[in-house]
Amino acid sequence: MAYNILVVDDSDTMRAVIAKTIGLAGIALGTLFQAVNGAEGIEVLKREWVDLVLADINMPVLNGVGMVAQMKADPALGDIPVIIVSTEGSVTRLQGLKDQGVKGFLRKPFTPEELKKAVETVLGAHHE
Amino acid sequence: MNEDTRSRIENVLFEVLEKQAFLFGDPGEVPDLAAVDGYLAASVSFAGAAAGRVSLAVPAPMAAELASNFLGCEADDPAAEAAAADACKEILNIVCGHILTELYGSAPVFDLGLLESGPLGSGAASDWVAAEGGMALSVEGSPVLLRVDIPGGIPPGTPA
Repeated sequence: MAYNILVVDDSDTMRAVIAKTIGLAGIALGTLFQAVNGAEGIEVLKREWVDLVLADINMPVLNGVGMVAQMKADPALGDIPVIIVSTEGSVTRLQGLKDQGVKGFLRKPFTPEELKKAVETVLGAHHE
Repeated sequence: MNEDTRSRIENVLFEVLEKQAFLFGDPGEVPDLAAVDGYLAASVSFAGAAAGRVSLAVPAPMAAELASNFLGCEADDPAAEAAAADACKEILNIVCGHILTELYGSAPVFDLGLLESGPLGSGAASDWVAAEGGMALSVEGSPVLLRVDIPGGIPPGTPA
């Protein structure tokens, strides 16, 4: 099964890195959607079928924390699994995001193997 | 900044550059800062348990190399040159997150500001290094400058 994945990061370079890493990890990819901030990410989610969101935290306009909050408040988006991909090292903040329903965390920098493990863990659990 | 803290921060930068950009640091002698034509600098503020700013400056050719290693293309590829500033900012973003964890541990919450970038002349490089939280490191035979500015002072020890 191929997955439609949305990557939300304000860095063009990091979105390209994540896209490349998805390929290197051997993750079956349907369509890769991209957004430069949480607000744009929400717009993509409202018009496209997305199986998984990979989102940064620190972004302008609407950051990753705000995006997750908006997703959870919307019944149509609340069940889409989110993996936070960021430099965040605070267990306090990560626990808060987990309490909000975030399914996984990946700290930059990361390897293709670490990305694959995170995706498999989240999507495996999501489809059980 | 004491030597132990300096060494820990240096290790953070080396590890991030190695893992994310395949560039390797050398803890030995730092090349002449003035021999570089110009640097590309990136900077980000942070606030939370402490407030301050972390800045990074790399020689302009290394910024393009960073981007090429990120994107998987040649350093002279126009795409790499176009992405040089963004790549430099993203490396700083990662470095800053890891430095904050190194200095304050994993409990405090920090908010990062928006990343900024711009040129830094060779003449200003020595001022960077002379600052309280400034340092110069050798990466792939070129000088890389890192500066951690925390008005309340950089914590001296390893967090509990």
